[in-house]
Amino acid sequence: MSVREAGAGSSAIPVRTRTAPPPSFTLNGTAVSLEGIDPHETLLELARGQGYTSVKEGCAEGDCGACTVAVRQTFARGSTYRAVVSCLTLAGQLSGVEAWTAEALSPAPLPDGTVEDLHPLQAAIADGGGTQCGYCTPGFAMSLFAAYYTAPRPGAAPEGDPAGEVLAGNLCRCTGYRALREAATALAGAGVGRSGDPFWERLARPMPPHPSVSVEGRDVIAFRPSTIDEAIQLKIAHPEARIVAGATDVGVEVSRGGRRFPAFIMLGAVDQLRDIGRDDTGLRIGAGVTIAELKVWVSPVTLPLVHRLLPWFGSRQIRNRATVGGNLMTASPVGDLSVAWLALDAKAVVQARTGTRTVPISRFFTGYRQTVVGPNELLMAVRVPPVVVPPGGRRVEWAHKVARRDRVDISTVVAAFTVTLNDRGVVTDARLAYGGVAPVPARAARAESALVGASWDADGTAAARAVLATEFAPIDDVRASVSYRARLVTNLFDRCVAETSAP
Amino acid sequence: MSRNEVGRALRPDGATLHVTGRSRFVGDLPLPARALVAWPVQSPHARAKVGAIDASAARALPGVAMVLTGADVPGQNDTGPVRHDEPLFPVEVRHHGQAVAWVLADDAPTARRAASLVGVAWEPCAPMLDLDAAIAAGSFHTEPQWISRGDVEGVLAGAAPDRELVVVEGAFRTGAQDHFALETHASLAVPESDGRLVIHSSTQHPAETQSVVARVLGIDLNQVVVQCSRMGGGFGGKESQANAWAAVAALGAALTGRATFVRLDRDRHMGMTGKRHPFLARYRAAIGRDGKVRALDLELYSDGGWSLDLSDAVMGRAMLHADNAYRIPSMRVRGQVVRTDRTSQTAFRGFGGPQGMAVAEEVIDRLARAAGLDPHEVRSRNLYAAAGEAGTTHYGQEVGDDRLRTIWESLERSSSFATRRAEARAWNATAEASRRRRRRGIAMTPVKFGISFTTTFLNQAGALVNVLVDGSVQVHHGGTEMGQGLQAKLSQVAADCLGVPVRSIRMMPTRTDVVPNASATAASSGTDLNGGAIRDACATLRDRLAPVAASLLSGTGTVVDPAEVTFAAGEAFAASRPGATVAFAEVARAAHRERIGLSATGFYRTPGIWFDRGAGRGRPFAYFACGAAVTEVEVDGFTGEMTVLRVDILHDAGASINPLVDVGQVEGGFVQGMGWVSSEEVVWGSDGRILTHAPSTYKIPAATDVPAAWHVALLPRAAQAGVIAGSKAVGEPPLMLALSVREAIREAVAAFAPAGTSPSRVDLRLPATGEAILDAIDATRAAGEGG
Repeated sequence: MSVREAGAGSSAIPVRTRTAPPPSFTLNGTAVSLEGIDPHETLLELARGQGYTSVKEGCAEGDCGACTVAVRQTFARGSTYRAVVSCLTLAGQLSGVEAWTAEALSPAPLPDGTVEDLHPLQAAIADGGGTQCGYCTPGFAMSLFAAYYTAPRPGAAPEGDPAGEVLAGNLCRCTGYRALREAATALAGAGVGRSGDPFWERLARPMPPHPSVSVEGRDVIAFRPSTIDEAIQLKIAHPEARIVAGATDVGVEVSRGGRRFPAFIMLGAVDQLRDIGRDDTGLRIGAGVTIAELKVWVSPVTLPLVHRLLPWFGSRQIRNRATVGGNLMTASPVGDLSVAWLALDAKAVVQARTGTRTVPISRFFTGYRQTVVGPNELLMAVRVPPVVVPPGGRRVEWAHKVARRDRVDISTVVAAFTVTLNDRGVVTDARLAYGGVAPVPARAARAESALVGASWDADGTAAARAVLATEFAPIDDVRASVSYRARLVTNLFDRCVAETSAP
Repeated sequence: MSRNEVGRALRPDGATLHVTGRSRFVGDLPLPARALVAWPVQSPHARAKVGAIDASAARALPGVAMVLTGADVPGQNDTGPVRHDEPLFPVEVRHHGQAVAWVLADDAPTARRAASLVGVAWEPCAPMLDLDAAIAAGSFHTEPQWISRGDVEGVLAGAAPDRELVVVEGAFRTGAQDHFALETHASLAVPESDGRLVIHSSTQHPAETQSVVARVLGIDLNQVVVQCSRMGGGFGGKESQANAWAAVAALGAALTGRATFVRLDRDRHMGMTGKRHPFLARYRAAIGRDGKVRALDLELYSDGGWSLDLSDAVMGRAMLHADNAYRIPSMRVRGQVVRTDRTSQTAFRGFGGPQGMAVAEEVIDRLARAAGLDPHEVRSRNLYAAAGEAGTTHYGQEVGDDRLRTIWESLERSSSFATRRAEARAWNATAEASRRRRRRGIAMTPVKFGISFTTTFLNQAGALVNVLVDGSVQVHHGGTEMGQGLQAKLSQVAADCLGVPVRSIRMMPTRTDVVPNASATAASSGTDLNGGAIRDACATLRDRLAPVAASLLSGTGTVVDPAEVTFAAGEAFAASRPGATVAFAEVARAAHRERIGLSATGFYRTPGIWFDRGAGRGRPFAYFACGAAVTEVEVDGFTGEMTVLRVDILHDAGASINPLVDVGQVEGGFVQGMGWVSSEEVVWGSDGRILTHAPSTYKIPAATDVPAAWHVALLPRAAQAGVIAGSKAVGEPPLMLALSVREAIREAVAAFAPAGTSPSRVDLRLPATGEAILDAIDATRAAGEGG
């Protein structure tokens, strides 16, 4: 039985109705039909097929940024340009998307190859020495483009590295980045409010709607439900379908691995999944909230642990697509946010057709790349309980990620700790979460128990540290040896104590 | 030659195309109608006999045109660049991922699916995957090479009773490095109606690609044209290793009559192509209490992988650079290339130089610490002099000038080296450093890099310069553009040689049917060699045009002598006719009417270089490119994480033809070298598979890894006699400035020893990953506690 028959055969299931508009997206200002396009096809392939060969494949796994394009997205209030990696953006997700490539930034060159009117960011790259071989350059240009039209966030940490934030998702093997960093420093936000600039003025226009339109290839369909109920019904009717949020994980399988799926259920148009807010039971973060949106929302006050971890989460391009829910559902042993949720004692809100259940994150992962979410269920949100600190006490929230490279890398070991201290500096409650040391992100339960009642300093925590040293049995892999991982487990704890205990 | 255009920081021609997204790489060319795309059938074993290949299921897939196997090769089934030891279709695979057949189909997904349907009867056997085991088993590609000077044995043997000498011995390894050019290998072969093949290839060596294609097809060289317009990065990875993919494309085109496109995706590129050679060095060395190095006995082994490729020459350059910038009176180097069942390791920016120089720095540090001396002081005391005994390398070439010392002392001052070192030491002693278990280290290392192909005959180049009747100019040469700014620099050279503005110059794509038999664009020699050839061609043209200009400038009663004609800024003029000028375009038009040829070839060969390999003596290099770097780092004793705080570089690019380009080479080379010594680690699995197969697992430096404070300067007043425009080669040398990163890390690690003590050795692996640094810190702390 083909997938299409399965969809059409179940009358209760909302497949694409014949009256729906044909799927399409906008590329450099021109509508491109998605009619009959295989939903596995990537935006990278589609753009190159349209002749926009500035969009380069460098790795097909979202790590090099050579295929970076800008998409206009509704973001916080209003619309902005966001840099995304087109190799991990699937045709099935594209309905209603407005995408831009480097070719659109300036008029076509004159016959002698010169261009009269380079975009300021193009001139900055070319004149500063920011391009050598040129293969990565259009991708850098589009990362800078998105930054150019985005106002820098007020209150962004001055000690941070804003230029690095813009560029970390783009690899250049030639230049050494100096000129590119200078361009990013000089130009981030410079296009905001620039009158007469067509790209700036376009942001004032209403966003094209995100139509709930399926994209249907020859033997595969990408459903695009617009409500949670629809999504769950589709999931029940199509157990073989791959559920896709941001596609930053499944996109790697498709783009690099050439993997094919019988069907997709794309969640991008389910607005109910994108809420974020606080109530008396704490904080509720919708599963469809992107990491970039979360990053805007959190601060050292609202969610210090997450705030500390997020700069290490992927690249800006990945954060613009990846979602809170996708990160949990992919159930990676090194899920960088998973350790935060574990340390914060967060709960997963899981919905079936029949109702909702709440599962602590500590019981969410059932095995390597497996979760408690059943075939008829959908992850809705993450709930973070409010923090209770005893009078006169304090709360330590600390996290660190160790990887081979500081940014845009997979954790060797990632740790997130929350420790509550009473007014005498004694631990009343501790959660020590680790990624990269077990098949799933996990807490050091015995060490946590041993910490309660200890004074929060090197001597006081020594016994718990000894327990911690026996808690996990990490493995050797491409990133690190057992020995290194084992030392990091205790050393990260030591470092936390050194940094947060009273001197 | 005037210096109107040369010396300007001109934006390279390609930069505008790059930023507007219009520059086309091989993979961006529109495919001809009915073009085929190739995908390899790869070995899942590191070593196996290839039995029957069953391609019937693949052939049956709609859209599949052909499955290429060894039986389809009309010529020689071999693509080896030096030794013919690289079967394109092997009967025995010698590394994991090696291709044994190629599927040709209408599109890449179909070809890929079909490749997975090809059945191969593998007969696996035990692979040789370990360098030490291979050495023990006598698995070598080459006989040993030797370079020797002085009585090494005598010094080392006599050293033990001599209390004035300190002797160390040890072993040291350097890791592999992937080139990670952003553009992966790509070739498009287009059959022409007359039987010729035109191949667009991302290759640093079009003439060799042409030759390998002709060999595989069994046809004459004149049937094959290879064109390279630009590469998306090369770094040596496309010097010899673009050939096989071009041969597959050519074979497909020849056999099917349809254009054939081969592009390795990232995983295949990294899994199938060679890296920077891993090296093992075994050494014994002696230093006097006066801080002068007395002797070095060195054995170098490189892991060449499955075929020889360029490994012999890479080893040669490593041996010629095992002194780095230090005078070592008694020195013996033995080098041998080891054969393993891994990818065939190949050229990579520096070409063995980085490995040789890393060993030199390792030995200097070991000697200094063992003798209780300051490594910085030892470096300084052993720098080469300009000439004489103290300025002559172990292979007998004089260094020729005192730039090493000039650079060293100038950079010490400009970087406030002594002050900052004292500050770093003071910071390391603070309670904060202790509580946070952090230490800072600062180190300075020199670079002396020999310029010329060490295989002397390769130091030649050709050019063709065409003046058009409107005064515009087309310049052809045998060099290839890979981002190093060759075309920009050569357009400036051509402009000044002809006396026209640079906008009159059009640099043409590199084609083997225009400038034949060219050497690879490699060994940092592109500008020196091709610039020399272009200058020669332009001189011929100027000699032909001068009489024409002279006659145009001659007026009533004044006859201008052609010898006094000057061409500059698009005009010709003569001293005897002040104020009179004639436009270059007018001269060109007049010459054409007078039937004077406006097209000229040029040729260049580097004078005065030679090397006697048997004797290990000679003058293999036209000159040395020098520099030095100061790097300051901070390391974390909990995790081994490292941050580069500041870098100061002073580099000798001669009289720079284009400072924008040259500074870019210095910065980019430094960061690439920093990756080699820190975050970049190629990891092989126990089955021989490369586990670091893509950027997710293989970490080149990102924009967040470069120094927060970074001062790069080119040595002023540095014109180099005998080189085009007084400039110096700058492609490779700056990579080795990054050895200062490694030595700075070592300084920081040493600071973990108990206060007031200094460790007698600090071992640090290369690459110094976080894990390697933590291992070194833990060892240093443990040694301190033990003592």
